Amino acid sequence: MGEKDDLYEKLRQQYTDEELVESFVFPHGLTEEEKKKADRELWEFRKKRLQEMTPEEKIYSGLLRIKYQVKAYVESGYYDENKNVSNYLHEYMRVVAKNQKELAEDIAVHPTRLSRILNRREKLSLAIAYRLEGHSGDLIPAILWWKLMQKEVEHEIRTDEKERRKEKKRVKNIVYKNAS
Amino acid sequence: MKLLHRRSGEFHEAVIELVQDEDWEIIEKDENFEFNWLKEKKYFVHKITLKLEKEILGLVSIEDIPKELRLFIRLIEVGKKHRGKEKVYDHVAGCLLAFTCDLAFQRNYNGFISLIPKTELVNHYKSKYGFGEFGSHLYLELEKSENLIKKYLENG
Repeated sequence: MGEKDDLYEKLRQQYTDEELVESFVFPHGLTEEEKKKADRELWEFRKKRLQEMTPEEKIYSGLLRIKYQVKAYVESGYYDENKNVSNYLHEYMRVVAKNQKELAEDIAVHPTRLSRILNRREKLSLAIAYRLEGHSGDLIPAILWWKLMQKEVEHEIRTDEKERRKEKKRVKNIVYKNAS
Repeated sequence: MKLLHRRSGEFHEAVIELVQDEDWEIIEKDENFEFNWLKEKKYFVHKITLKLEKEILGLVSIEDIPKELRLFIRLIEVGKKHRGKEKVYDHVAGCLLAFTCDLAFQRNYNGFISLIPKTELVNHYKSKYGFGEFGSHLYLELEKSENLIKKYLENG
């Protein structure tokens, strides 16, 4: 009996089996050969499952991939130029196997408007975020699209000095001037 | 995600993060953990803590097996204070399992995770977390994986 099994036996004296599964996944305890065999068998099973996946399961899995990737990103503290609404919308269309025209029709948005969003010339509106939520069967909540867009906007505010200067020039009256 | 504080019945915000270099010394000295976690250093080891607090409540060691499109859970250990009848916080292991499911979706593995359980515990893992069984492995994928995420990570 190895050190890890000794610990398992000790813990079995302290806790019930139910309590153990609420606190542990134990080291597997198989020999190298046994582990390889178990992994081989599981991979055969997994390959079969992958081959048998229905189109609906593939869409479901793809949508959840987008959901959890976006969620992890919007909750993180970093900015990544590639993780933007446009790229995730392109990925969304790939997962649900729809082109721009089909998606625009599905969510009742003018194709030109969707094209502008995909080309980053227009921001995603809350209304479209809600429609995308509905389109995904509520798998990808509107709030995630919204937060993803907000992250882009925040980055723009922090970095786009040209736009800031341009808009400030249009101000006709400044209500407070810092004396210093 | 939230952990259940058993005495008050309140849920407290928690976070799961990758173990950083400076955590290893703390883990090594922490008497709440009995396994030798340093042996897991070459895998993806994550810790769960309460938000804005330092105490590590639990740890998970994950092996990424990209060629088989799955994440393998090598080890989970909940700290002593949060085990058994006297536990302070509940759902610690559930959150670590659900976090692994979340990662398995992110990596395009269809939420597929697996572990090799002790024989005596097989049925308990199946009934507690919804695992399926194949050979020596228990596994979760797709809806079963999402159910765990909903239960433990999206609980308010």
